[in-house]
Amino acid sequence: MSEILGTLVFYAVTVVILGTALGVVLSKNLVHSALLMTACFIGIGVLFIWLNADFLGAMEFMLYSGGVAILVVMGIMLTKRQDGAPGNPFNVRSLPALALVVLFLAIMFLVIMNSVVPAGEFISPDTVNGLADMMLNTYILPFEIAATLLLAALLGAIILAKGDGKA
Amino acid sequence: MHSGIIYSAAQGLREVLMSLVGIPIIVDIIMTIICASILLVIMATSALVFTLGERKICAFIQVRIGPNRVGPGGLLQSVADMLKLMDKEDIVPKGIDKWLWVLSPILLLVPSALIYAFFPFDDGVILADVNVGLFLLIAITSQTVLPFLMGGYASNSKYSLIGGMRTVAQMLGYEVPMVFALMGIVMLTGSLKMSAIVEAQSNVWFIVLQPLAFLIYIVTALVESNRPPFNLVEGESEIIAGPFTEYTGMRWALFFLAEFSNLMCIGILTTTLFLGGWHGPDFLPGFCWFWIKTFICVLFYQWVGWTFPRLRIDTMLSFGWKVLLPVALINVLLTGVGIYIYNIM
Repeated sequence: MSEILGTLVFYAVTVVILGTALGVVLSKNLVHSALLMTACFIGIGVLFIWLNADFLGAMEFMLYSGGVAILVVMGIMLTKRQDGAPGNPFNVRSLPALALVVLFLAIMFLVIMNSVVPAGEFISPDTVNGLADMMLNTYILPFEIAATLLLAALLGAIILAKGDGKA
Repeated sequence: MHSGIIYSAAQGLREVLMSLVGIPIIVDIIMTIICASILLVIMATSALVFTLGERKICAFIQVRIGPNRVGPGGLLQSVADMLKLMDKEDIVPKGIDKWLWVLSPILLLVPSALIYAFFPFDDGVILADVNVGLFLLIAITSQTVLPFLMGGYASNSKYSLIGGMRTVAQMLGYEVPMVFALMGIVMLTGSLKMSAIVEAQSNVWFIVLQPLAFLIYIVTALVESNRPPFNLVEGESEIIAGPFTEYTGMRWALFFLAEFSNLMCIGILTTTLFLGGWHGPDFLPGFCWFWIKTFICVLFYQWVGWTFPRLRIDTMLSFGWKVLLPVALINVLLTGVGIYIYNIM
């Protein structure tokens, strides 16, 4: 009974994810596309939680639908064309695109069907401690290097946005 | 394992249902629906009570009488307000983005209602006691930003759009110091589980161990829930209620339902994270202590709101990034040093 419920939840979430993802591509309004993308992120987060990956799910909510999506939406809103044009460039070659999608799906289907996916052992849901241990003990050097890289990117973005003081 | 009236009542109800229905999963579903309904009722009632409370307290602070005509001492004022709002004409402005405009107030309510699942009301009385409880709670709270922006954009009005932009600037900006302030608590507890955080305060409340984090949390909580003096998103006197400008009647009321629900949430969170949750002397049951502390917190937040004038957006943002964030980081460092020294001794 609870397995049936779980499967139902899985299919409901999948329909939401695929539907919103399709909406992102098909919507003629760029802002709507960005907001549907947010809904897609939320769906993926729910899927992670459904798979007992609570931390990953919360991360998806926080960083993707809480951070990335807002920046994208805001960027689109601020750069919107003033004449009220929809602004989502459309491609007329929908048939080749469809063929490409079908081909991709066929390849993916074949690959998935022909590969053996080893079922992992059940991992304790308390993944936060393990993650923290890995990040701050085992892999502290790559972690710090990534942090330095991000800091450099941040400073670069500020310099680019503010100019070098001469302008 | 757990004690407390609510927990025993829920257990009793579960046993009765079990003998009536017999199938565990259906009993689980019914119990979840009952719990969710109770939480929704709490949320809706809080809006009703706080509307009146807000007006009465505001009047008291400003040496006025406040609403005093409807019912004894104006007690039924919020009921009258509600009837008025339902009766109002539903005005839909021209030139709006219809779907986004309609969805914005509804979507705003979803995260506000969802986070009630993570609050420990009493010993063992928590709907979803997950391992990453506090983190998930903050993640869900951060979803309230986008509906504001949606409403501001969809209204096709300059004031609304400015309000929406302000929401993003202030909520994203103050989320960072809030997370770092709460990190001190998580470091002391060693867990993100809400019940564990309350359990860790059975002897000493975290307000004693983390006074700096408490101060930062008070400020950021007021910002995150758009309470005065940080309600720049609404800013009635400058941008005419921001994202809500073009909404009337029940649609407008939904925004305020969310706002009062958020006020309750920050009260509950302050209680849970810093004031020991449902812990208290034994002569009152746990949930009584919980609600007493929560209402004191809400009163405090309203008091602050009606005492200080509204800040300017640029001073507020620079305060968040240049003062609160460094202080929060220093707090994390101090907590770490403290834990290290304590472990040595």
